[in-house]
Amino acid sequence: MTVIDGNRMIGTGFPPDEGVRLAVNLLSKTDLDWTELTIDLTRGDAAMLISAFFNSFLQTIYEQATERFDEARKIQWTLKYQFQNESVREWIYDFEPAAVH
Amino acid sequence: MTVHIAIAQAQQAVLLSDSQGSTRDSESHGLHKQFVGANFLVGMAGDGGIIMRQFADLTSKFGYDDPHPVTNIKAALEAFIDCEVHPSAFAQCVTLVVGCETDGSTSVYEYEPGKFRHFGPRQSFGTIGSGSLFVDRASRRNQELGIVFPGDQLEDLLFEALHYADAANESLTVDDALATAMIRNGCTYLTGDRSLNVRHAPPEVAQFWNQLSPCWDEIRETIRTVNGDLRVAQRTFSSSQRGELSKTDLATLVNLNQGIGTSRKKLSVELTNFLAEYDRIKLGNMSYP
Repeated sequence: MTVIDGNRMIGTGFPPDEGVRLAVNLLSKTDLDWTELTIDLTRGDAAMLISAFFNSFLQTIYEQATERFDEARKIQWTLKYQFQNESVREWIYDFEPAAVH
Repeated sequence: MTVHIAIAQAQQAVLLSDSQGSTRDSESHGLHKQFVGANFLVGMAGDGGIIMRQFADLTSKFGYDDPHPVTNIKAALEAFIDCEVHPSAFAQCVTLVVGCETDGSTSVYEYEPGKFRHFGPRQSFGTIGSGSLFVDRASRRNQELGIVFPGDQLEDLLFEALHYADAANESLTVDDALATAMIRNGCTYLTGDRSLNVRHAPPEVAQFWNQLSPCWDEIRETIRTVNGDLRVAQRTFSSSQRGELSKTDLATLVNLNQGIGTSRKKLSVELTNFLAEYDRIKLGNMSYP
């Protein structure tokens, strides 16, 4: 299992922008195995780790590397609070990518 | 200096208070500036000596176990100021009372002995202390912008009170280590920052503060998560200022609404868990079901 410190891959900007940044940074690591990947965001700000952050992360993966989208859905997330872990699971389950033209 | 924010709706109420104590030369943190009775809450701002004497008087008269009509609480608070405080110091304290009316509904009353001899009329919202200027300003601004806080559940009141506590936190004499007292169905509850030195609350609450205060961390962070999504929603909606709200924007708003709904359900669960934990501690039943 690979554990990545997600806080080192994002900044302090607007959450949807930081979700994009995380996706782009992750995609740039071409040798990274996503099949058993955990992203640790326990040091992340609750106001950053919102549905818009995870939606933009998944949308970016869908747009830039559709073939990795299913793997992205299966990424494990480690967060500080239990409610965050539960919410993220629901947000990712509910996410439907918007069509890209 | 201080901020207290009280909101009462239906059978629920909250009293949020900061914990900073400031003098001309120094500041301290962790001060519990509330009195948590069985079915009423008191928040005071001003002279620390008067506040501590007032709370000691409330403890001896009402204790923490038996419910009392809010009219009796107000009368006792007025009598204390009238009998025990020198008139030259009347202006040095302001009081908020959150209590239960005879029909079970909650209410807020404000008392400024430097201006008035008695408590003011019944309110559903009150704020006192140096930070209250920031709260009033934020409230007026919200009204101008059309921002409202719908709902009368405890979750709704907490959300609104925290919104205004964040506004008050801009004041240099207010900190963000909060004491969060609530009333639900005629019973009081207290949680808040773990740094708080709980003094004027049922002794079991102070004894088990290490168990009760972490609940606040989860509740507060859940509300911050909702606020984060709201911020994105407001930014998305801002394109309507130019009449350019697109279908993509609307889809984003729908997604955000769904995300907030998820967080809101988590908030309800956390609050329910906290209330149950608090009831267990108050009943002296520390064994888990």
